[in-house]
Amino acid sequence: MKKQHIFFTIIVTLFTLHAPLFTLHAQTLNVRVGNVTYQFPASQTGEMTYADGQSVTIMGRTFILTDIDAMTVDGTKVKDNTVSVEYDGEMALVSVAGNVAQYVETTVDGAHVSIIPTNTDDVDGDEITYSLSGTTSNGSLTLGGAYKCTVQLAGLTLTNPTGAAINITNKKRIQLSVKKNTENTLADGAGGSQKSCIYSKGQLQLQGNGSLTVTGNTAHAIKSGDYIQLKNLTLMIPSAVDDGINCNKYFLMESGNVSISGVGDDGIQVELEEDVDTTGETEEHKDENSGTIYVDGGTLTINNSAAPTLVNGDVKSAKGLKALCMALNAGDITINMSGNASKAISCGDGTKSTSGGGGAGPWGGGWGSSTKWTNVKGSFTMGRTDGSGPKLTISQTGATYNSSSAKAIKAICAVTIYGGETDIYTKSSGGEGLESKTSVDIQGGQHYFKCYDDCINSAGKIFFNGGITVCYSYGNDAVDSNAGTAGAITIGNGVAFAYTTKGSPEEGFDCDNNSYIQITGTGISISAGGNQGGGGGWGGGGSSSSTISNAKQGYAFVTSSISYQINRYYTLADASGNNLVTYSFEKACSSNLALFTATGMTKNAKYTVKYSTTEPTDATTAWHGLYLGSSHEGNVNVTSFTAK
Amino acid sequence: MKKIFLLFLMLVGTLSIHADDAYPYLTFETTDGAKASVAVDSLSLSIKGTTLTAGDKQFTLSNLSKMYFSTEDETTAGIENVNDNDNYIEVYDLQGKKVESEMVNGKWLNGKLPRGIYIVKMKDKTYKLMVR
Repeated sequence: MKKQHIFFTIIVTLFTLHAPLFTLHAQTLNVRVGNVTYQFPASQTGEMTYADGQSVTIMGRTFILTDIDAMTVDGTKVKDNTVSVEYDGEMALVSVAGNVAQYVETTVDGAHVSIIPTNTDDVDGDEITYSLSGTTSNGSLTLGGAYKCTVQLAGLTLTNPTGAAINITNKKRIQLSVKKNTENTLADGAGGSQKSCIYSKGQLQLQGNGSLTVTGNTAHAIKSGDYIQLKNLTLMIPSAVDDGINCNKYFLMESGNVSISGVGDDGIQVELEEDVDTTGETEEHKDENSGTIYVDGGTLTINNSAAPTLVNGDVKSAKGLKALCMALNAGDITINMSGNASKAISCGDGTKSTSGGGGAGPWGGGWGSSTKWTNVKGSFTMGRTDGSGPKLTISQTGATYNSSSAKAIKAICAVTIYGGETDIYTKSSGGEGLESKTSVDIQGGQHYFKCYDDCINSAGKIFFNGGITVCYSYGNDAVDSNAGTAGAITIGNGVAFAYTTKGSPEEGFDCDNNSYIQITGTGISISAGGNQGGGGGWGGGGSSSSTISNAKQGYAFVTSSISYQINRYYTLADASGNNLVTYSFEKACSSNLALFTATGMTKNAKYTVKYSTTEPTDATTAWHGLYLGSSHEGNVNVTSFTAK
Repeated sequence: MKKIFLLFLMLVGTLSIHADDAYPYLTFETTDGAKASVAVDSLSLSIKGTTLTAGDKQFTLSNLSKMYFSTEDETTAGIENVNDNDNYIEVYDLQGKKVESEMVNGKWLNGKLPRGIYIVKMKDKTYKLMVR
């Protein structure tokens, strides 16, 4: 007890002797000039020199003494490399950390803040962070300079009725970071000349675990003159007169949650600058100018109902995603389009030429003209070669406007689908699910199309090399290739179930001549639909006599009438009753031309199709009416054939 | 006892941490090398005309050379500048005896006053001065 008493006395004595140390914190010299306060930590200032009674220089920044409104010393904590802007109604207060004071020129007019960094290199090995917070209905930030920096939104509600809310004229990389757990809302003024509510002349990296809502009342909501990368962020764009997000070079979404609606034009558009050579994808996107929209993760939702307009006689319609190249690698992508002539996804470019009539139609001698694309640029890829990929959901309810159709995916370039999951719906005539002017190659993933017009249409070849694809058209062909050559539709190792409920002349597989179909793998293909008939068109329609050269497995074209009904589960089986595939229909389908080929089918062997009303429950894969790996057996005969 | 010893170590450590950033004074130095320190606790500096006021001290701006944060009072013996170069100054000790008088002209009046408390009488102002 005695020892403890002595020790307690020592502690108290020490505490008393050092009492000032407990009350003194890091001191900061605050130099206020107007609404800008420069904060110099005492530990950093060193000698602050006066000159001729006119000025004082602190940490490299010279102040004219008569400009100084106040100087105080207090315990304010200062974070190096930080410039803070606090908006408060009609005014804004700016705080500049001492170590960057000499590099920052700030002008404040009401709540309109203009900052020009003058540094040309890192400051103390780091870049300057401009932290914005507070609320104003009449303010803005304009940021110039020529070096990388971070703009942090830390609980900011900012409206500029006369221009952009944030205007970054700095051409370098800008990180626009939304502070964790903060909500930030930005809006610009209507009828202005600004390009967007948030504008960055340079590379723009949107990030942070906070929430950001951006409204573009004059043009775009967010615009970059360079690329835009986005991760983690929860970004909402409730409306924009023009695009939701617009940038050059490329757009990359790594993660986060982006919701875009109420736009007057595109959800996201990458525009390539004219007369600038493009690159492909570069390592870590360094110096890339590919014109690509990348979605590598996150959740992207676009609801676009923008109406089309006529510009010099050409239809200008809205797109969900628009870019030269599209790389939908992962994530959850939902695009709902309702504007006439709109496209959920539009990519590729080339030289368009239209030739005169005569034999240029899909059947019966043509429609009088055809369009061809040359010098095609761009690409569309979905998923990765390992079969992984995004979940892509598209609903297109728009209609045709001035001969411009509302489609889900329109690609001038080649389309390659490596993986992922697709659910595409279109509602109107001309509303194709996936159209490529070059080719379509499905190598993996699971895909479902329910389209009024062609589910998949290509001016070139269409390949089912992998994955599972279900195409249900209720107004046109399920799969339509206009390649007009062998291999127009190729069944490789993929599974394709293609049917149309429209009736003749619309077909499950339409490539103008059944002999153009090739079977190069051991996949499964079931088609059902009408028949173009034997006459007219590009080489005549399909017929039972058509044969497929060098087919790798057995197949058959069945032209006998089959009346498929809903709630029936049709099983293709071999002579021993082994289930090769079971399939069902969403709507009754009358078939006059059906292609059957499946894994294990051999030439000259007999096969049957029977149905039962019992849905298979043991399928290893069930996908929109397709049941693979099931032991299901039908008990009512539908058709039988001998394979070629 | 062991716990108490640990507590002691923590306390000493705490003291050290706080000591690193402690600058209790802002010291002004004039062109002639004289120094005056003012405590920074809630310190406010203001500039009016040709005078800078820091706490209870005033400096003629044209005479200031530098300022810096310091860990101790570095005030040198002398009288700090006043705000009017043409002001006449008389310095009295506490017994009322005039010990110095001089036209200032913006320079330190006298750096050799012994330690003590004096009354400084200016043309339009009188105040108390402590020389340490």
